[in-house]
Amino acid sequence: MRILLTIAWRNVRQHKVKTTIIGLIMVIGIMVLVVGNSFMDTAASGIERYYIKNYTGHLMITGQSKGHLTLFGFQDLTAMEQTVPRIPDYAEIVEFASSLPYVETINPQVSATAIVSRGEKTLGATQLFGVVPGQYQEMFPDNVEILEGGYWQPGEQGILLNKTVAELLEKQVGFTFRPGDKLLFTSVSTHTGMRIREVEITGIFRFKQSNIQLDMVSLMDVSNARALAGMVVGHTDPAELTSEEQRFLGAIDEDSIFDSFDSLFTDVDVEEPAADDDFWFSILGETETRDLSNEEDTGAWQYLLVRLTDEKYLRQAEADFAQFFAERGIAAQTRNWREGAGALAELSYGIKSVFNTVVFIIAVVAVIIIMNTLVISVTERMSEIGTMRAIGAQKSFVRRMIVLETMLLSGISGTVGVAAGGLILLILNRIGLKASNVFFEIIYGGPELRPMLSLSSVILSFVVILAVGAVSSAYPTAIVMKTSPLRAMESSR
Amino acid sequence: MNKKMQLIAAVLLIFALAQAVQAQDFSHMEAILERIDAQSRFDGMDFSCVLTMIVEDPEEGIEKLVVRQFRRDDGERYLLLIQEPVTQRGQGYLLEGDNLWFYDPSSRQFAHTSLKETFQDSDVRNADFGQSSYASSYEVEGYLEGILGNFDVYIIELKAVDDTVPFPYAKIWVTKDSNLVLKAEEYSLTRRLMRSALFPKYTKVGEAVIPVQMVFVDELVEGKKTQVSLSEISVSQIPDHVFTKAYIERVNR
Repeated sequence: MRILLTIAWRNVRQHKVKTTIIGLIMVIGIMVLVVGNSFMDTAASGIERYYIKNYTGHLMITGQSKGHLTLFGFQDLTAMEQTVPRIPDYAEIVEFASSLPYVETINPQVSATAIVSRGEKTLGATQLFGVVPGQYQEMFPDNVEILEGGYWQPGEQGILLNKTVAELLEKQVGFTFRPGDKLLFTSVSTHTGMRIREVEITGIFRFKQSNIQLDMVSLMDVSNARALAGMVVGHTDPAELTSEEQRFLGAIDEDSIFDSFDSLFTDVDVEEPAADDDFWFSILGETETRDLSNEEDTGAWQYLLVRLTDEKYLRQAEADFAQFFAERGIAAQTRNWREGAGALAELSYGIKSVFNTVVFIIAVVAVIIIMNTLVISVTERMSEIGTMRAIGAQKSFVRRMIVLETMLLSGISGTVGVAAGGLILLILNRIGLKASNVFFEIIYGGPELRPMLSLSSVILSFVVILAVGAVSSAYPTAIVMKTSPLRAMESSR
Repeated sequence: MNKKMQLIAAVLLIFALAQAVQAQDFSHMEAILERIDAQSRFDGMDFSCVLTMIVEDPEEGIEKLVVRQFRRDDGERYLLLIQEPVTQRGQGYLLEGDNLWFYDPSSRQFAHTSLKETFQDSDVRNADFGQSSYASSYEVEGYLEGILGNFDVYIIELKAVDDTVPFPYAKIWVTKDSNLVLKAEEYSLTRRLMRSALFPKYTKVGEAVIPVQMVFVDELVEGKKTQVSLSEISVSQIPDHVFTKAYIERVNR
């Protein structure tokens, strides 16, 4: 082994050009790998911290539903077709969550999207989080910066308008909104149809850590948010249809509909309605049932956000809640912070996957270049290898010699690459990378990124470089093994 | 010289023929559009009815809405009052010319809305409740002759002349003999089919001919459609105060 190591080391030193070329390729490859992966790891953990700490918590409990449910509502093709379900047996779930030692705090929420108008003018739209101020502040103490006014008082109603939303609305009216101003919010839900609420602005705020999605969120008292989300006590019974009303359910055959003029034309009785005031002013019938069924479902919530004492309890918490729901027969489920955070968090992770694919392609190209250079190098030393074989060196000896030589080169280059990558990361960490636009903000998970060397990227880099070494030496070794010692020696002539 | 003159004359003739082919005469189709609008208008009389809407949704199931409609084409007014389901009873839409207001009895508030918006969660647009305006809102882009079921029809391609209609492009199937619209397809700016409508039943009320059964199919969500049927039709005069905000507020007390 010692002899092999000596020969390998001598070869590495003797073929300076070859060593430098291959070494440089490997150093650059590893450097890219270390910097890139550390960069993405830092961004990923930043995104995680950023979302968990600022608006999702570790876990989100919701009613059972299909589709991609986030804190902003459904963010898939079903978005327009289904309403966010209410959490069933909410009080029981809260009691259970509070009993778990690793649950630090909980926060219930309601979500709605509303068109904002004033007088005859439609000004824009905002996403609404219906919250209880005390609980929301306890869950996310650092992220809400009040710029003017404040939260509404307990038992009162109001909206804390996001500064970004306010600026968009102000462009339409030409003046600045202040606490005390009132706005009309209109939303549509499948259950209650359109709903309008006039709500007073109690304050203007901004999220300290924000993104384009969160910038559109304003905080509203839960009573108005429930009304806009269609969360009332009444329910609609399944529609009972006459046979005529069922005629066009399912698939429609146009040819059979338009089969004759007789079927196209129909006679109807033209009525003469009573013209007295009684008719005109009692046209709706009784409205008491309507008023009762439109009362706010005061105990209803769509989301229960859970923050854990430590992230290590995440899996345990998911399992404990799942077991609790199964045992009690509660139609609720947990979703992790990534699902709750919505499309932007998913996009950040998507970009990371793309980056990893690019790194893999770079690694494949590096293997091909290194392999090619090694083949030339080994071919150049064919006579030397032939002589070694002729004086008694076994095939395994030669194979081990070439593999060891490549591994030695890979090891040294890898270490230099990791060190160079570490140095670059140190500099980037000191400088800090500012997100110059929304795209980089999504990747960074915030307005600035300070990348740090991650252990996983170092380990991954060494695994990759050793694999590259092993794969690269396999082909030239095979060429040498196929050549007879006599022919190898003759090749020097 | 004589030959040269002949050549110039031939070129001019070909050019003139090409121009004639290019500028197709759509006056016949435009007349049909005007006839469609005219025969569905209630000139000098009011119109009221009860609309029963069956909204079929693959995710939400089947929902039934009952809406009372009062319409006065002179002055472009209508009032829609929802009667069922009970949670939506009393919600109203009041059109006064270009202004459409929505009323929510649970907050006793009015908010401005648009004719281009969908009515509640159905596939019907608010504009569908008003009078037909094919001739003034669209220009003819082309037409074909065809057959729909057992009817000979013109298939007229339309392009909106302004942005007052919900969809910028449309195609309508109109019976040749009676000029009734049997089918309509409505398209987005990128010419993507957004909604189809079928009008399988018509009736004559006074001088007007109106569809009493309509099916609106959402072409973006498979299986979603809304069926609308008219009943309790009347052309009796409606008091002026019905077309006011005060009336909607009062009936909701």
